[in-house]
Amino acid sequence: MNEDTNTAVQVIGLSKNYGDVQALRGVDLSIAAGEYFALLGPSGGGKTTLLRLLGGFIRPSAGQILLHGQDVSEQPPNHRPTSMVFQSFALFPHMTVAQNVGYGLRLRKLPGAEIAERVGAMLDLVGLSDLADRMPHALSGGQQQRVQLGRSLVLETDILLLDEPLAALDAKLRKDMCLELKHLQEQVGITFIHVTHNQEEAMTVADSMAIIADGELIETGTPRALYETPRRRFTADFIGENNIFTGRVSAVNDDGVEVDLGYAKLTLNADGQAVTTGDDVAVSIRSELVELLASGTAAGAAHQIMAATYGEAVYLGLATSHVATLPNGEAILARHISRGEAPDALAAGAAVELAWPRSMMRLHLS
Amino acid sequence: MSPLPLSRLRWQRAAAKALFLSPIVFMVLFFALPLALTVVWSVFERTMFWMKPGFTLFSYENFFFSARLENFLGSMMHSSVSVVVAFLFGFPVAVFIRRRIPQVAQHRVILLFILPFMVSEIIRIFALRPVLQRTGLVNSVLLELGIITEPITAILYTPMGVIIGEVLSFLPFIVFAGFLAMEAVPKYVFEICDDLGARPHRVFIDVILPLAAPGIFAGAVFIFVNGLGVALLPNILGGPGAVNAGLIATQAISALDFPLAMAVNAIMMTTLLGLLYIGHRLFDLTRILTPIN
Repeated sequence: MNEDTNTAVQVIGLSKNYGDVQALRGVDLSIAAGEYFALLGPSGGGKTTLLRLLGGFIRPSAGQILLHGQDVSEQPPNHRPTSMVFQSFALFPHMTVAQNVGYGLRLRKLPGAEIAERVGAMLDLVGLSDLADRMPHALSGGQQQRVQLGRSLVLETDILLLDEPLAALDAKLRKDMCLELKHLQEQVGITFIHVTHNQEEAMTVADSMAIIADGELIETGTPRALYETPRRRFTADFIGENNIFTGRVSAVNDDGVEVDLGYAKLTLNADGQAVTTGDDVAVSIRSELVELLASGTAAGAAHQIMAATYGEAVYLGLATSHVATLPNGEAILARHISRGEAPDALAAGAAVELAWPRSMMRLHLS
Repeated sequence: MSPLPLSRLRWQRAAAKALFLSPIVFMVLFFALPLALTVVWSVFERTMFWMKPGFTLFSYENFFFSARLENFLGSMMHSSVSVVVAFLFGFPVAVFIRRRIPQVAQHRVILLFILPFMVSEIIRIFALRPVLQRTGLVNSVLLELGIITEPITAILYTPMGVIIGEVLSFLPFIVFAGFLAMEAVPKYVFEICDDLGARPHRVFIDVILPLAAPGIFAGAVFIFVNGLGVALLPNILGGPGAVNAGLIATQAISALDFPLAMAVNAIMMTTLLGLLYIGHRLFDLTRILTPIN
């Protein structure tokens, strides 16, 4: 096990039960120091439970939490090198911005001059110098979250925990704040652990991320790796927009793996995964890689070609999503950048061929 | 549907306006007017069985240059002590109910504090006599246990007795007020405090107290006013040195001295308004009473 000081968080077999409900099941995870790490997953999947376990707000039912090599599983929040930014605009409503930021230092009984100096520097960092004397209710949502950031960062802990910090902000502001958070983390250099159910948010901020669902850690990796080469079927389903086929392995040879879908056969690279003939597997391809060809158009051998029946086009602004039906009745999506083509270029029910690069297909054993 | 005729619209608008005015009418008729009348009546002249119009400050003289003033100031003192003691016992209960009892059960627990009110107040207070008296429950138990050798006589027919009665009577109110006041204290502040490492006493002083101040203030004023005004308590539990404004007025009425009773009321009212004004200058009550958003 990796015990060096470059690991900020090491979680071993961590479980949390609420009565009969298993909120978290045997999670193993390690997060490098100085990393911006995102915990991404659907609501109720256990990611907030994991974060609250790290922060010490709840105690694990089983397993261990090591922060910078120290077992803190039974320590209260303030004895851990962590600090928390809460989801809702959690500020002391009766204190000014500066008082909110400085309260943690006041509790540590630092001299007043030092508190004022550190609070001033922190307000500069989070861009609130002009609002030091405002009350929280006179701030916008984004400003309130900045105050929370200031309150946590001023303590100079090694790990900052962020529980859906942008969930209550509107979409535009959330985008701006994402980048700001990312730059802030680069500036202060400590470990940020950010819980979110928003994929775009996670991918914007994170150096690496973990997918958590149903109390389990599904997969970890960089945003690019999880988007482009997910190992688990769940990841492919959750991140981006993927077409997922289920089938059975009909042959394994030097060229790769052949998967029989019943109505078509796919040949793809197993990418090092151990697979044998007869295994039930899933194959995924990102919808933006699927090209829509009018019937009879030739495509190269490097492409997988599949016949389908055209359904409809859904205009999404940046992209247009074409829905077609496979021979087995399932839908398949082809997503292209909208280029002003005529909306009725293809009629519903028309026979089309779909093509995508074989090399981009991914095999999922689970 | 055809539009309403203009006259009917106008009439409706006038009715709506009248509806908004009704609280003002109510307050004037049943609150401001009687209060003003007590002041007017307090300067009337006393007759054998009633009073007659006139202007005399005799009742006020009667109040300020007798033991009544001393008793009045004494009862303000007792009421203040009752407020503090009731707060010390009652507010932690309110905080406990808010923090430790599951949300769904909180209101049921609060309902338990209504049960004492199902017993008539006079009976409730009178029942304290066999508990507190010389040969009462408290004394016999303490004597039996050998903790005291002589019965304690300071807890009945004394200011102390009145304070005990006030605290027991008004404790539920401070629990209610505290419970409602805690509504202004969002749950998350406790998590922030945990995260920052605030000890319980700091959480209480720095966070709970300022946020719950409006409710605490309301509860405190309620107890203080009742401590001054409810004649029953000193009547049953008090002695020579424990008479409050309410009892002074009651005694004046028994003696058919109505102007004096009115004067006592007017003085009590003025005192309370004066205290509120001082409180306002010191703490800015509008700020305290503004609900925190």
